Amino acid sequence: MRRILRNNRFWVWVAFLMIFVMAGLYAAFLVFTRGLVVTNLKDLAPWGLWIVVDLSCIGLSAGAFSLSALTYLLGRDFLKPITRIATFIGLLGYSGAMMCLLLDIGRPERFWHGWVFWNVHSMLWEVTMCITFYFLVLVLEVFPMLVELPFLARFKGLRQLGHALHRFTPVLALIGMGLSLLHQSSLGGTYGVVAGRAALYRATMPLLFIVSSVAGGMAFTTQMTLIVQWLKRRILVPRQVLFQVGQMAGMILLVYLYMRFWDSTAGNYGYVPGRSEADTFLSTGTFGLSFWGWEIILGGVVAATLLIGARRLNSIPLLFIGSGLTMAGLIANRWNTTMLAFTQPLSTNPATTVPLTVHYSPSVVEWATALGIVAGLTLLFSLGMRYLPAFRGADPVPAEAPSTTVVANAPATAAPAGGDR
Amino acid sequence: MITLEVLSNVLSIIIFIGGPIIPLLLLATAIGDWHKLNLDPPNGTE
Repeated sequence: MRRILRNNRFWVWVAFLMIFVMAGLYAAFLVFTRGLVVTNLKDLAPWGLWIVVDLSCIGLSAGAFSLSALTYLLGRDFLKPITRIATFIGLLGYSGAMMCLLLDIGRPERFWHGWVFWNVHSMLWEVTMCITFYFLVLVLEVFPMLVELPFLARFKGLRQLGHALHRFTPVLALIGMGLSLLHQSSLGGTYGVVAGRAALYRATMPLLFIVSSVAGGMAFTTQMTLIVQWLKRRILVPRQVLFQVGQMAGMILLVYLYMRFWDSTAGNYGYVPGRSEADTFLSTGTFGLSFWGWEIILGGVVAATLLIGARRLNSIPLLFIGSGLTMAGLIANRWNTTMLAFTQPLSTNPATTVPLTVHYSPSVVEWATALGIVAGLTLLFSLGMRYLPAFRGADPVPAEAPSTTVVANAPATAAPAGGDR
Repeated sequence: MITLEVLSNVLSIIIFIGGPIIPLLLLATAIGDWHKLNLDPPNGTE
């Protein structure tokens, strides 16, 4: 039995993920048939776990547009192997985000209304259109990789179409960058324009969102690449490239931390009704641990230090820990931003300036659907990394054994191992 | 009572921070060890 499990580790992994996918599908069925009443969302806390997963998926997918722009627009060809992985992650991330939104809108059969009935004054409409178009761009970018699958070899037209599309990759990268810059920042803007939520209402939200997502996206791509290489026992991206991308992510994270510090301090001269209470609640209340622990210290300062230091120290573990902490920091940020807003009621009555706490904790159905989406994305990512020819990678070169071992095991006629072979 | 409160706070910090950190460190060690034994191919990865 153990041998069967060992020989079929990939399929055991697939079966494990399928458990969560099936549970998620059942929970989604409950949401679609019974409505949002099966969730713990309410009027004062209308956005919850799904929106956090949605924002995290989009934020962590930002490696696709940032690395594509570096590769195809600035001519950094050495980044191509990791850009392919980032693009694939991007496609999956946006698919996950759209699944979350489909659950969250409450009337899923009307998902197409935003495309047809334009409300050009709504931030959410702009996000909807950008995400739709960017998803199409990602499909076009990934299409040439998909048509290389061996079982599609007989469809020659598909492959020709794939090759033709591949020639337009720089154009797609340019369009993708424009759309991403728009909607990654607009997601922050969606919060930033809510005048009734004092915790969010500020012009810096779009900037904070886009900078954190670029750092998070690059770090997440690095981390996923390291995991895939280890599991496949193959090299997909040269380690110096991984170190460089990690270092870029670390530097951008430092810029983000500076902006966050500036936003929290310079944005709060004196007492700002609602905002000051929210900041106190964020830094000392129930959010304190996730804010200081995950978002600022581990996911910010420590992560940036590790990502920048990993290249100098030539340390893969530091790079891996740094990128993992950056990812955690981004998720914590999206959680804190979304949840903090709902600790205050809408201040429609000017006299209501003292924040009242609204309790929200996701229901079982929300957790099941969220985990199902994450498991589904992981499943597709695993299948893609295993079967897509673009991610085949190369066999690694075994490291030279320590000189004492070489001498001990070497045949008498063998030449001395030497320092540099 | 204060001791209990402090204890529960410390415990929650250990679980909330340590819970995700420990698997991350274990994975980092395993991945680092593999990369120590396996180097990049000289002809690149293409």
